[in-house]
Amino acid sequence: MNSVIHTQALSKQFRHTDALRDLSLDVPQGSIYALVGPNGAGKTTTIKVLMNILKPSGGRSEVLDVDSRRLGPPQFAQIGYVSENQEMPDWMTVEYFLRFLRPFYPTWDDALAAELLRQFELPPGRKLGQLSRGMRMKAALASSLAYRPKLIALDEPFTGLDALVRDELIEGLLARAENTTILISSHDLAEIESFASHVGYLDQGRLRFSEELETLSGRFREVILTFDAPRPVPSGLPASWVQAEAIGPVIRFIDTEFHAERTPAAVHSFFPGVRDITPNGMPLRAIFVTLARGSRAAA
Amino acid sequence: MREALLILRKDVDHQRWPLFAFLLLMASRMVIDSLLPHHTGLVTAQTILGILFFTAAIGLMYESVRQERIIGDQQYWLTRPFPWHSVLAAKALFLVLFVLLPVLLSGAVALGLNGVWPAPSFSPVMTLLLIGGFVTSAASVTRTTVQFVLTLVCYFLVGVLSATLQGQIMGYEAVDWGSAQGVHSFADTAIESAALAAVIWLQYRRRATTVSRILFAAGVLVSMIGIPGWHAAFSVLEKLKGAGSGSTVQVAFDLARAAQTSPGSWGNMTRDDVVGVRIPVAITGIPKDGVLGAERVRTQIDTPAGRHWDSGWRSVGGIIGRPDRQADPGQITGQTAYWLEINIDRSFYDSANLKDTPVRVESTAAFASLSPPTVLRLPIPCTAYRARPGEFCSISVQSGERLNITCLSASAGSLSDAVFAFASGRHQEAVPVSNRIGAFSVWSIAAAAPSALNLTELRFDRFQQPDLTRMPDSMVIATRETTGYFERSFVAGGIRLGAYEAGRSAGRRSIW
Repeated sequence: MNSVIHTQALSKQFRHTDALRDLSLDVPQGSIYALVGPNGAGKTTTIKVLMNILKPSGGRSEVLDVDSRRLGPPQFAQIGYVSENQEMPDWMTVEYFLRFLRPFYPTWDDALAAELLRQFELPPGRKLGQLSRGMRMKAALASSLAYRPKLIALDEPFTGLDALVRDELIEGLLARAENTTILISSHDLAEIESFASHVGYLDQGRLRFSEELETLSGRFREVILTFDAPRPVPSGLPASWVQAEAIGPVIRFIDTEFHAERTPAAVHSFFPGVRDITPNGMPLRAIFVTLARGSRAAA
Repeated sequence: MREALLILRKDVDHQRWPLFAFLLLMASRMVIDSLLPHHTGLVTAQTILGILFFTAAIGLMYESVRQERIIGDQQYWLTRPFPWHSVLAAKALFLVLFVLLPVLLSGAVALGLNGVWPAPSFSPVMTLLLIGGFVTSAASVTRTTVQFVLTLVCYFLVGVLSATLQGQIMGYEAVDWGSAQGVHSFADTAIESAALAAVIWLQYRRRATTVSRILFAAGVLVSMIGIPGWHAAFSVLEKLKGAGSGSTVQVAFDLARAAQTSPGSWGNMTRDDVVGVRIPVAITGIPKDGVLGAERVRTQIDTPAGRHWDSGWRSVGGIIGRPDRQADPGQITGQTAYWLEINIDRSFYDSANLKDTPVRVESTAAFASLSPPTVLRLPIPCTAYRARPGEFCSISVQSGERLNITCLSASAGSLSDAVFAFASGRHQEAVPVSNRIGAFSVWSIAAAAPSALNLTELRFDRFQQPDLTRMPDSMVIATRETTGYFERSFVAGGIRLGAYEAGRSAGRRSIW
C-alpha cells in the first residue's frame, strides 16, 4: 500500500529541547491514522513539520510524495489541515470564508460545501469570530472537506469539545472523507478508538510503535494462568510478556505478541504445572497504559 | 495574478470603511492642496493632514499585511494554497492602488487646478514606497501589533538619538555633507531599501525570521548612522554634473599676502588639541555674478624629516573669506580676500615643530559653482504671486514689522539647492528647500524681520536705518542654481606655519 506520509529519522529541536527524535512513520493511503500520546509527546510538532509550518532539524519527510519542506500551493490544494487554536479570519462570515477559499481549490465542490454547512448546522451569515469553539472547528473542517482533499491532518480537533459536537464532527468527517487519508492526533484514546484504522504511539518525541489497530488489538492479550498452589513469578520470561505478577495460585501477565498456538505452548514450557490458561482481549486504553509503562520503565 | 487579486479583494472588503475614511482624507488634502497657493495660511492644516495621512497610510498597510501574518504557526493561511508571491503582490497592489495612486492623483489635480502641468513627481511616491517597504517588513518580522508599534517607536527613538549624537560621536563631518548630502541620503536609502527588500523576500519566501530580524535591524541602523565616504559622494556629483561654470576657477596659495589681514574675529571653537592655521589663498576665474560654495578641504603636510599629516576631508575650516560681517564666509564671490583654514593636531604640530620648520602643504578644495541669481521682485503684501511657472509666493506683514514669506513650488527640483533673499547683492539669507507638503514644495522665511533680510533694495539697511518707520512695499528674492562641482589642488613648499598660526584653533565656518 502506498504511503501518503512517509518520514525517516525525522527530528525537531526547539533550542535545547528535542521535540521529535528519529521519527520514522508511514501513513498508508486511505487509512485513518491516529497519532496518540500524552501531552507534550510531539504530536502537534510532527503534524506541523509535515505541513511545512515548522522546519525539521533533521531527517526527511514526504507528504503526497513531496518533500514536506517543499509543500506549496499545488499540494495544499489537496490537503486539509485543521488544528485546535487555529487562527481564522475572524471578521469573515462563514459564507464569505468559504466563498473566499473556493477559487483557490480546483476541486472545490459547491454542493458539498452547502451540504457540509447544513450537516454541521453552521450559520452562513455569522462571523467566524462570533462562533463557539465547536462551531469554529466545524467551519474549519467544512472548509477543509469541501474540495475533497487527498489528505486531512487534524491536530487535536476534539480538545475541549463536548461529546455531542465531537460525534457530529466525527460523523461529518467519516461521511465526507471516504477516499481521503486522515491523520489525526489526540491525547485521548477514547476519541479515536472507534474509527481509527492505524495507530502510532508517540512518547517523548519518539514513535514507540505504529501499526494497524486491528493487529495491535490482536497481539495484546492479558493472560491469566491458574495453578494448584501459589507460586512466584519465575525469572527469564520472554520479553514480550510484561507486567507479570503473582496473586496466590494465579499468575497474570500481558503478552504483547500473542499467538493462539505459540503462546500456550510457551506457557507450558515455562509453567509445566499450569492448570488453566485464559487469554483475555484488552481494550485499547489498557494496551496503551501497558505500552506507556513499558516505555517509561525503559527510559 | 489571479490569486493576488483574490487576496486583494478580500483585503479591500476587510478594510472598506477605513479605506473610505482614508480616501476622504485624501480628498480633503487635495482640496487644501488646490487652495494652498492662494491661502498659504492653510500650510498648518496641510501639515496636520499630512501627519494624519501618513499615520492612516501606515495603519492601512499594516492591517493589510497582518491579514496574512508571517510569524507564528497557527495561521490558517499557511496551509492553504496561497502562493507567497501572490500574497506579497496583493499587499503591493494594495499599497499602489489605495495609497500611491490617490497621492499621485490628488497631487496632479491640485497642480492642474493651479494651472501647473502636473508632471509626475516621484519624490513623494518613492518616500511612500520606502515607508510601505518599511511597514511591510516591520509587520513581517513582528508577532503582534504591540511589537510592531514598539518597533516604530524604537525606530523613531534611534533616529532621534542618531541625529543627536552622531555629530558628537562621529564628528561634525558625519552630519554636514554639504552638497553631497543628496548622494549620501540616496546611498543610505538604497541600503535601507535593499535590506527591506531582502527582509520581505526572506519572510514571504522562507519565513526566516531570525535572519530577517537581523537584516532589518542592520539595514535600519546603517541607514541612520550613514555610510562614510564624503569624497566618494562628492565625486559622484562631479561626474554627474561636471564643473559647470567653475571650470575656469583657479586656486593657489597667496603667500605674498600678509597673514594678519584676515577680517573679523577668530573662530569660536577653541580646543586645546588643535592648532588653527590660516594661510592666504587666491581664487580667480569666478564667472561674473557667479558664486562658489566652499565644500570640504583636505590638507596634507610633509616635513623635511619625512613626517606626514593628513587632515582628511574636513568641513570645519576650509576655504573662507567674507566681504563684510553679514556675509556667509563659505560663499565665495571673488570680491574679497580668502584663506585656507586648517585645524592641525597639536601633537603633530608640536612634535614636528611646524611652527618653525619649513614644510610642504598640499590642499585640495571642493567647490559647488552657483549660477548668477534669478531675481524675483515681490510686492508686499502679496498672495499667490506667480513667481515662475509652477511657483507661487505669498508675503504677509505680521504686526506691522515682520514679514512672513512663503513660496510654493510644484516641484522640489525647480527651486534649486538654495534660495537667497537679498537686495543689496551683499547680504544673503539662505533658505534650504527641504519641505514638501502635499502637491507643493514649500519654503519660507517665517517671521523674518525686514532688517534681518537687509533689504537695501527697499531702501532699508539694518545699520544705516535702524529705526524702520514704515514697511517697504516690495522685496527681491534671488535664486541661484548649482551648475557644477569641482576640486582644485594647490601646493606650497617651505611654509613656516608659525607665521600663520592664528590662535588655538580655526573656527567652524558657520559660527562666524
